[in-house]
Amino acid sequence: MKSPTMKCGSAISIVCALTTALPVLAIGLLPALANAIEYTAVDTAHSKIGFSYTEMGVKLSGSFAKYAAQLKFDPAKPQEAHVLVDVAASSIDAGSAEATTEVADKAWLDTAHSPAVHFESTSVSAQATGHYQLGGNLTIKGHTRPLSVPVILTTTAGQTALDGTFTFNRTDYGVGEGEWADTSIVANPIQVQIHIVLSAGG
Amino acid sequence: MGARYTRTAIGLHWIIFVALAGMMTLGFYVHGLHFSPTRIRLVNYHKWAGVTLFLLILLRLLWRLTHEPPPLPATMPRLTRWAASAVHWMLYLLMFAIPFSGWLMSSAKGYQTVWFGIVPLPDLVQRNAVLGSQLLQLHATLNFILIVLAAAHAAAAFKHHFIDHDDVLTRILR
Repeated sequence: MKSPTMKCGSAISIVCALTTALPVLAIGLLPALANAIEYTAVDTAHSKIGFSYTEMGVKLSGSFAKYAAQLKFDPAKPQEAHVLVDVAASSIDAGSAEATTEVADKAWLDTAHSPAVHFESTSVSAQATGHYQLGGNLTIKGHTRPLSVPVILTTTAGQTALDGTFTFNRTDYGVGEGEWADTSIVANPIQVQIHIVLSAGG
Repeated sequence: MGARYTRTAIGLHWIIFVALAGMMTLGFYVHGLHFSPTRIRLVNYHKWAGVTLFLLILLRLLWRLTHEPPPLPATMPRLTRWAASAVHWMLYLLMFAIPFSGWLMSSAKGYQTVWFGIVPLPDLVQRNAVLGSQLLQLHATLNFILIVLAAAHAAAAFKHHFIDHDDVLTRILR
């Protein structure tokens, strides 16, 4: 189902409002949409940035503990949304004690010279109800590449959050260079899971 | 003379001896390496071989429990018999406990064991760095105990052969 908001011009606003509201009323499970709140901040205390990768067939899961985010997101006007995330590279947990120590090294994230992993949105578009496509640029270690992430807006227990997963190839960003470039040991794809809790305040 | 070990028991004894010696060598070598792709590769080979060996050891234990070994020479004093039996059961216990502690250690360090990179074994403990280093200590200590007991076991077999002139050593050879 394609969201009607995408086709809404200014001309026939009554029809437009109705078609926008109908699927929302029909589903009735997305108070965030119905309330038409504009979210202006990220609740970093409840948000999560996790990732997983495989090492010779062994799946490892890690996360980043510290990040700052700027956000402007009105579910009714996704095209005007803007997201900016700065993740403290040194706050990584790479899944094991030895991997966490190693990954700060020059060959991996080079946290001494590249303290932040940066993401900035360039476009947000509505897909199905509650589904958005978040386009932007991801910068790791000075390498910037475009990225497109499907995200889902949900509200559970009073918390409204955007959830999304995407995969990138670590070697595209110079993550794991030299002897570590061998992807038969640490596989190239890194799966990232984001859970961004939105806040209307602040 | 008379009662003999089964061919299976003899085969398992020597295959497991050679495999354990190789695994210990690899384990102690890998422990000394710095964190690198080579180390990860060798650690994974060690785990894959460890799981294989664990299965072989379980098979051996099952075989031992269902096949009575030939009796010890009647000339042996009661205390020596008791010691021989105790060492044998401690060796079996260690052969079980060493791979098992390695499996737990891997999980505690955050790495699930995936046999040949294909068959995942369940994590019986959660990731826990402190527990991980304690299990590493345990894994290494159990290996040192195994080396000492296996040396005593071999020395006893040589004593039987060269001093007592009985068939205790030769009956595990053929």
